[in-house]
Parts: sequence; structure tokens; C-alpha cells
Amino acid sequence: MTDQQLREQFDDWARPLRGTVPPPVTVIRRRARQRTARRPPRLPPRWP
Amino acid sequence: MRHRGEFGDFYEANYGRIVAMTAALLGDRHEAEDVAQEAFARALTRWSRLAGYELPEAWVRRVALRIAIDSGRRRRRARATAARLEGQRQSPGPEPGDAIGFTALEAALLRLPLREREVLVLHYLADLPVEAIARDCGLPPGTVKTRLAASTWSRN
Repeated sequence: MTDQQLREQFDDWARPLRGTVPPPVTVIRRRARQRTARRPPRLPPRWP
Repeated sequence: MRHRGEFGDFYEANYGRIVAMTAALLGDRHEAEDVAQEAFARALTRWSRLAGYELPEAWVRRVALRIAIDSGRRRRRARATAARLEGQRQSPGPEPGDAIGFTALEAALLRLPLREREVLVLHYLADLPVEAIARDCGLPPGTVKTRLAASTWSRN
């Protein structure tokens, strides 16, 4: 199998997945907010 | 607020590509969608900076790959532990019947170690040149070429 044929195989395989409908952007926004909320507060620098 | 609409467009335009790439890496569509959503959530928390990048999708792709590889390792360890507990042989990867249709291509991909799979996926699916793959994976270009050449796995 040539490089080009292999690339076409990958393309054929991936086509339906590339067409995946994304969940509403609000799902991502909620997830981003949860990430920010989980982040521990930054500690102040310690003097030597 | 200025970027709110821009992020939505960026997300909708790139989501499918990231899902396809991570699904090829993990062999599981649901896991791939979770990884893609996590990568976009991380992008959103940095969007004011990423929006200024020439190719913000490259950043999301790299983050999704790292998350997918960590997730793939966790799954492999979990499978190994389960196999030990059951006194069975360790399975080399996801089995037919996992989330997405199991084709010969996937079966061949999933027999490879994750790091080798990553190089093939970036080359054949993300269409990246050797130098870009080397940068994304933190590998010397020679190693990337060797791994691509070793992809005779699927040509036999």
C-alpha cells in the first residue's frame, strides 16, 4: 500500500467522526468554569 | 466578551477534527469526545491569549494529544490490573465492539504503542509534516521518520 492509499484509508475512516456534531458551547463553558473553580489559589511568594 | 462569538465559531469548526484524531489514538469515540471537550474547555480559559495566535487549533491539538495519551495510559494500566486480578492475559488494547466500528486500520493502529500511534495519526490524519510532528511530540525529526517508516505494519 502506498503512502497516498494509506492517507486515503485514514481519511475514509475519519470522515464520519469529523462530522461529529459538537455539544452546545455552553457545555464547554460550564466545564471551563468548573476547571477554574477547582484551581487552588496561588500562594504568595515566600521570603528566603 | 469580545471573544465570546469567536470561540464558538472556532470550537464548532474544529471539534470534529479533534474528535477524529483522538478517536484514532484511543479507539473509543466516547472517550475521544470527552478528551476533545476537555481540550476546548482548557482553550476557553485561555482564549484571550489563544485568540491572538496564528493557529489556535494547533494549541488545542497538542493539549488534546497530551490528555489522550494520559487517558490511554490510565486505561492500559486499569486493563492490566483487571487482567491480573482475573488471572487472565493482558489485552493489547480496546477490543472489537468498543464504541466505534472496528476496522482493519483501527485494529492495526491499536496494536501499536501509544507513542507510535501518535506519530501516525498526526501524519496521516492531521496531515502534519515531519518537523511539526517532531515539535508537537518533543521528538527528534529522525525518530518521527523512523516511526513513519515502521508503519509498514499496515501495508502488509
